[in-house]
Amino acid sequence: MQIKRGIAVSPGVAIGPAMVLGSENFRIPHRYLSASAIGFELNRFHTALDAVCREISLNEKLARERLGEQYAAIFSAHLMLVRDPQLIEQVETRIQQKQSPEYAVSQVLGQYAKQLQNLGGHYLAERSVDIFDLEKRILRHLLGERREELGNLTEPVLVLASNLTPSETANLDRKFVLGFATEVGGHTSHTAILAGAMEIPAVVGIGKFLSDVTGSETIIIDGSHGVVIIDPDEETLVKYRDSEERFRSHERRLRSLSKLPCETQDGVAISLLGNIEFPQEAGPCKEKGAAGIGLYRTEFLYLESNREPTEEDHYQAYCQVLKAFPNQPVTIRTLDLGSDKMPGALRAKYPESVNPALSVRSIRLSLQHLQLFKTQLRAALRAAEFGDLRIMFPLISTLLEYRQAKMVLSDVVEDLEEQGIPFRRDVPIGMMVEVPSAAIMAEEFAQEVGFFSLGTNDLIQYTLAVDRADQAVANLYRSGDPSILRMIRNVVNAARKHNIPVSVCGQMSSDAVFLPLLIGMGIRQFSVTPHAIPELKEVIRNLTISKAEKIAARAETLEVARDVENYLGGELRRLCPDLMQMD
Amino acid sequence: MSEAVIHRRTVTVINEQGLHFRPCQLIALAAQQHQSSVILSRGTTRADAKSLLELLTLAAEQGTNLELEVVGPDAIDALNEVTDLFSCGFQSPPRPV
Repeated sequence: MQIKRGIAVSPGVAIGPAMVLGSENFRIPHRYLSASAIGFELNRFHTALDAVCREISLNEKLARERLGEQYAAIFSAHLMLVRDPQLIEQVETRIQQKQSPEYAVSQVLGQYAKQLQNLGGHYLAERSVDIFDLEKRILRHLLGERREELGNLTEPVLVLASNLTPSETANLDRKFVLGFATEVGGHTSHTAILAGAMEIPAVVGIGKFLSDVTGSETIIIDGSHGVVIIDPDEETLVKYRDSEERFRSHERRLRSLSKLPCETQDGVAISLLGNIEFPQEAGPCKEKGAAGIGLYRTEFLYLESNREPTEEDHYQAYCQVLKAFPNQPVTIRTLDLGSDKMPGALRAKYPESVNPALSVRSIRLSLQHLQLFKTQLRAALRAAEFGDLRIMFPLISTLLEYRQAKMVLSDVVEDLEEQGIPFRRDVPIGMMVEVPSAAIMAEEFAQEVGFFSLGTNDLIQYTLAVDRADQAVANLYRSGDPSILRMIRNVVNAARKHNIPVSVCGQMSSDAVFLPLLIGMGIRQFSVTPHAIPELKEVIRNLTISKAEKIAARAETLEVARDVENYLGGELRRLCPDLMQMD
Repeated sequence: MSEAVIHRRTVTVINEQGLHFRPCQLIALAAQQHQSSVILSRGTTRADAKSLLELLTLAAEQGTNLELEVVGPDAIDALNEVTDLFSCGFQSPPRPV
C-alpha cells in the first residue's frame, strides 16, 4: 500500500481499478503489466506499428509524386525501421517480461539512438533524429489510442494521468470514470474546475507517481482530502468503502435540497449563482440548483487555441450558457488574463513581467487592446438578446479606468447601431471589486456602476500582499482577516446607500464557514463554485437574518484572522452539525 | 546439415560514404530475403544484418573490414548477395531473387 498526497479539487471517494494514461510529451510510465494483459499489449504494439507503417507509406507516396524518387527513399528507409526485426523482437521480449509497450519501445529505440549519438561528429550521429522521430510516431499511436479508449470504456476505472486536458476532462464518461488523479495541475486549473462541475472525485498536483502504479491495482481516490492510495490493504479499503457510502448519502441528501427554495428560516431569499468557465459547465451548474451565473469567466476562449477568438466564437459560447439559464442572470466577466497567462497572439508583445499580479492584466490588457476588447463586447451585447446577460469589468482600480471601459462599450453600441446589427441596449454593466483602491472608493464607484461583485480572491491577495499560490506565504492568505471584513463592509454600505446590487463571487463565498457572516453583513447574492451550492443552501435554510447579523457583529469586533475563523467555524458547527461531519 | 555450418567471409567497405543509411538499407533488404541468419561484425560489435537499426550502429566508414557470418539453409546465396553489395560499393541494386 502506498499513499500519495495532492491537491483536493473535487470531493468524494472513488475506489476501483487504475487506468494509467501516458502523457502528451511522452514521459513514459515504467509500469508493469499483469500476466493476463501481455497478449493484449502485444496486440496493441503491433496495431501501433501497422498504423505508423500506413502513415509513412502515405508520406512516401506523396513524396514520390511531389518531390521525386530520391526523397521517397527517405521514407522507404523509415518504413524499414518500423519493420525492423530487432526492434520488434526486443520490444516483444520486453512486453513478455511485463513491460508496457510504451516503455519497451522508448527503451529499445532510445538505446539505438544513443549509440548513434555517441558517434559524435560522425555523419551517422544525426540519424539518431530519425530514430527519435520513429519513437515519437509509435508512441503517439500507442498513447493516442490509449487516450481514445477513454471514450469507449465499458467498465468503471479510476484514471491516472500525468495531465488531462480540459477537453479530455469534459468528455470523461461519468458512468465509467469514477475518479481521476493527475501528476500536475492546481486548484484553479481548468481540469480541476471541470472535475468539480462534473462531480468526479479528483486529486491533482500529486507530483510524479505514475511509475509506482502497475496498471491493474486497486486505487482509492479521496477527492475530499487530496489523497490517493495505491493497492490499499483490507482495513483501509473497508474504511474508505464506508466513507464512500457516507459521502453518497450526504450527496443524495444535499441533492434533495435543489428543488427547495433558497431562503433563510425567516423567509429572506438569498440568490446562489454559479461560477463557471466553460459553456459545458452551465448544465451541471443548473442541476445543482444555481439561480443563474454570477461569474462567467471567459478566459478559456483565449487560451484554448493560439488564435484570437472571433466574435462568433464568443457569441456561440455566450448563447450556449444563456440557453441553459433562460430568464436568469448570466454575468460575463470580460477578459481577465495577464502577463503570466497571455492570449497566444499577445504573448510576444509582453515577454515577461517582473510582477505579473501588478502588471498588464485584466481590464488593463483590454484597454490596451481595444480591438480584442470590442470583439468580446460586441458578442456579449448581441448574445444579450437571448437572455438576462450582464457584463462586468475585472480589476477596476480607478474611476477613470471604469469610465474608459464604459466609453469603449459606448463605441461598440454605436458601431452595432450603425451596422444595423440586433443587440440589447439595456445590459446592466458592473464591476468587480477586487483591488483595495476600488473597495476604498466604493462610495464614488457606487454612483456610476450598475452593480458590484466582490472578487475576494484578488482582494485578499492585494490587501494582505500574499500570493496564495506561493507555498512560502500561502498560510498568510486569510479570508477572515479583519482588514478584509472592513473592505467588504465599506463596499456593502456604499452599495446599500446608492441602491445597487452587490454580490460576492470569490472563493470565500463558496466556503460555508463565511456564509453566515456575509449574509449578516447584508449580502444577499453569492456566486459560488457550483458543487458548493447544495451545502451552502443547507446553511442558508438553517439560518435567520437576525442570527446572521449577530454573527457578523461579533466577527467584526475580532482583531485577528485566526479568531474570526475559529469563531465562524464554531457558529457553523452549531448551525449545521451534519455538514461538519463530512470533514 | 548445412544449417549448422557457419559461413564466414571478410568484406570491406569501399564506397566513399561508408555504411550510411542507404547502404545499410540495401544490406538489410538483401538479408531479409533469406531465411538464414546474417551477422555483420566489426570487432566485438555484432549486428543483425536484417536490422537497419543495428547496421547503422556499426558506423563503418570507408576502408573498414567487417566479418560476415551466415548460418542457415540458403546461407551461400545470402553470403554472395551481401558480399556483392559491398564489392560494387552499393552502386547497383541487389540481384533479384
